[in-house]
Amino acid sequence: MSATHLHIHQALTQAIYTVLNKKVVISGVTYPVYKELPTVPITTYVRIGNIIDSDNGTKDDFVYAGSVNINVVDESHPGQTDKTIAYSVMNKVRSLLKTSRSNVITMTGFTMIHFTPDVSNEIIEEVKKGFAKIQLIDTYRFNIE
Amino acid sequence: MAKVNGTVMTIYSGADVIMWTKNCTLNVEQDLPDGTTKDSLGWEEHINGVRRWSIDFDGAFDVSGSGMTPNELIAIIIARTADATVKFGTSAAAATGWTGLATVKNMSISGAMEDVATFSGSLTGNGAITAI
Repeated sequence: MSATHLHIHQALTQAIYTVLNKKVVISGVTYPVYKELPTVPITTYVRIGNIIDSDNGTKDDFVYAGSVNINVVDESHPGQTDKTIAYSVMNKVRSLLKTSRSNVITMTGFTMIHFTPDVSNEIIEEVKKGFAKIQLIDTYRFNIE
Repeated sequence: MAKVNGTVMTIYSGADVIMWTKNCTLNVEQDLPDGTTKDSLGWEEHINGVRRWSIDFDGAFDVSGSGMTPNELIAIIIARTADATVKFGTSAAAATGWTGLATVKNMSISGAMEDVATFSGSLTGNGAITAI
């Protein structure tokens, strides 16, 4: 366990990125994964979203409990709200992040105790007249030491 | 007042700290046998009875650590290991706290799905507890 108080966000983001990057491939198409908002125009992508954590340790060490969002963004269907591609991408992401019930992600410098699918959400918004933006958001709970 | 951060309050078995605890509680009590008579003027009275003490604790389960781990406490119950001198205080060397001979009475380990495994247990005093 960790005896000093550290920041886990970068390590967790990088760990998820390592699992997903160049591996979200569907029908020969590789969907990009971003740790930040993409700076180039892209219609469909995965973004490792917000992380919230708090200390859940013991009197001897620090344990970090919290949640991380994985966003799938799809703007490939102007004027439509067809979620087929977005859900295909999210299903691929899920299969990579959780290969079994008890599977956890390998992190550099930390140990993940559990990594658990939590709530799932979808947001459809009109970003400009006639252009829809689909966002699927999966939230995972974790405990990291 | 000089408040104490509860994080530093820990349990020691000899020089070994009981590892991975989140909470610990020292309980000290005495029985109060009834001494009420017709001459008590309608007020209940009692005498001092048997005294006892115990320590309850809980924490996050871990098999490692350089101290007394939850597994080692279970092993003590299984082996009926002789009582150890226990200290409830801020450090093994601190000149404050409470100490006495105690027996590991019970230990529990819980594994909730997709959560940190936890443990809890208690020590029961065997004889007097004294202030250090």
